[in-house]
Amino acid sequence: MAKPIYDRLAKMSKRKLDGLEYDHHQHLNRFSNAKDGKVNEVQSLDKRLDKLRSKASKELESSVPRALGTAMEMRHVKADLLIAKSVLSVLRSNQFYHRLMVMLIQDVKAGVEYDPSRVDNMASSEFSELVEGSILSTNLDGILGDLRSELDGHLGGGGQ
Amino acid sequence: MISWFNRSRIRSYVKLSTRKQNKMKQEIDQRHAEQRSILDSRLANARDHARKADRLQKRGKGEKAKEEVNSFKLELASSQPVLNAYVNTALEKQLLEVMSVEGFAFPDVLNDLRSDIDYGLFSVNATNELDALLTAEVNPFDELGIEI
Repeated sequence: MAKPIYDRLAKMSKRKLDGLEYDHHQHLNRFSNAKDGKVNEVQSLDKRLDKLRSKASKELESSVPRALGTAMEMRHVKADLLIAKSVLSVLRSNQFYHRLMVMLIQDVKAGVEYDPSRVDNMASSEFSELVEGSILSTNLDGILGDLRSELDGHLGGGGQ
Repeated sequence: MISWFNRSRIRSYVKLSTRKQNKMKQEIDQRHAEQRSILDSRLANARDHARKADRLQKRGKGEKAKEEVNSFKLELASSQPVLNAYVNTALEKQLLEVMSVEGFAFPDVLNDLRSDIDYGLFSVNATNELDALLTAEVNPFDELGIEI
């Protein structure tokens, strides 16, 4: 992808490259800000989920039904967290795209030869988190596993 | 792979006039608010049943407590389709917001560079797949081992 873009950029005049670099810089700033906002949202949802998890843990010690109510709320927060993380990946890919364009334009202007390994490294570091760990890999095991066995006992035995 | 971005409705959004884009956004905002409100109300109902079950259980009224737990389970099961619809709408709503940012590029411009980027729920192919995934991912119901 980057090589054909680099070749296309290499044919452009300095004035056009300056204009294009400015545009991509502006877009990069916009997506960086949007990404930061989404990261804050993800962190706040993560925190809320942690609080609910520990609340459910405490409730579990005294009452399974109470913990179930909290688990229900956890489900909604978890859904919001998956949405926010998915949107974050799109913002991040846009941020990366504009960063890549700025880098390629600057390389062309500076007469730097196209280096595919540099682009690969840039992509690897930017997306390592999204490639190595799946957004959908977070799960509610642990507290819910405990709840299940507690509830099984609760429903089976007619009382705790 | 990045299926949400191949949907014609999403692809065509960027080509719409501002007036049509705003209309589409308004419709989605309204749907999103309605679904959120239904979800909140189901959550409140479920918590209410859970609290009642807890109270009854402490008073030694096991059978009545069991009934409340069953009501809770029904509330939980009935809210799953709404949750799925809500997630679908929220994804579309937020994607349209991102697409409205000047300079937006579809992620497929990066496909040749990295084809293994995880776009989370946006990578899910169809609505029924999203439903199945959400049921497994965010629903504690199965993990609790309860069958309705």
